[in-house]
Amino acid sequence: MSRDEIIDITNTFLTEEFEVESEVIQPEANLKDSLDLDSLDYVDLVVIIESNFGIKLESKDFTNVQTFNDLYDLIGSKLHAIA
Amino acid sequence: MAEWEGKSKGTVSGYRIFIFLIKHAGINVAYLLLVFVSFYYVIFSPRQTRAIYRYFRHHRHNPVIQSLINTYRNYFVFGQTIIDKVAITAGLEHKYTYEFDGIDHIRQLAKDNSAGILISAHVGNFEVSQYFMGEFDKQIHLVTTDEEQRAIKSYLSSIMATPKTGFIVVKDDLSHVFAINQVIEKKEMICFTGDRFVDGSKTLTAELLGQPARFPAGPFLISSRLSTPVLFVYVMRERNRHYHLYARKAVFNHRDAQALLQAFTQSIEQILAKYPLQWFNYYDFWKA
Repeated sequence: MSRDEIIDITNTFLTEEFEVESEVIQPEANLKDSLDLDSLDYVDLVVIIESNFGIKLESKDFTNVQTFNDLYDLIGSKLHAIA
Repeated sequence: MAEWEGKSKGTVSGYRIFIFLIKHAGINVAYLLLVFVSFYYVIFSPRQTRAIYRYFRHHRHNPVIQSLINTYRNYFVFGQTIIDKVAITAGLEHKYTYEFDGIDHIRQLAKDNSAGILISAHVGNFEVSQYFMGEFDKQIHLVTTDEEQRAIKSYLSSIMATPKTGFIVVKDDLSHVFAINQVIEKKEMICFTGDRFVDGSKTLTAELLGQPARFPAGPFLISSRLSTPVLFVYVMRERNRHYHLYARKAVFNHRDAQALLQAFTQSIEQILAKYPLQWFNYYDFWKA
């Protein structure tokens, strides 16, 4: 899956699930602030990513995820690992 | 500050004292001690006493004297639930009896091999539910933001053979996210308390006992989005060391967190109508 496809799919479900305008999602914007995530919202986020991409995420994967770009990178690396 | 500040009443040393009493003098002697302990709390915890008095006076519309008496009785019953929790955890569950109202909903989860989301509140004594649900072979994992729970749990684990209730503490490192997902994957039961939030977390507002109050958004957002059955569960104390477990299926439209919250507040009102003394939120719950 190309990076553009990852971005497309991710942005689509993020706008739907977290009910934000698509303009809010900018590559270098802060994920937590933009989506107004609190600690329990991450449960939704992980479930959605795992079910949309068929990957398995772990707690340590999120250590360096600050921006949307970081999230796309994480999904890309996980998809690469299972390819 | 209106919201709960993140610590429940009761400390490890408090639990140690009650364990000592229960083991060496019996449960009834521990209850007897509560006559004085409850009085102590009425006098020396003015903020908490005020909050409970307001609950009886303004939300249950009790007369002044009745509100004062019920405030004292509320502390007493709260103390009894703590003693019961400690006693049951220490292996004295045979000293208690129980009945289950709505058992079919739990059986259905087991039959469907489905995970379940339980939403409870700080009413009654939910934490003892696991000891009465042995037949279902599904572990309950209680999601808590209460840091103090960890120390208490650690102490209680040291005095019991097999810990039966798991605790998932919400932390900054997001480990709770993966713990919650794992529970759902393992088809076990996850339990949220739907009535308390800490500073900085998102909230939803709904009416409870005639006035709007804020509730944590997380449990209702998650429960309304996941395709997992949601039950409201309460374990209420009755006379003679008897517990009454209630399980009610939550009816709401998928992704409608507000409707789920409304169903929750209605179910709490029904429970409190029957057990008015067992409201254990010791802060100004309705303050905006």
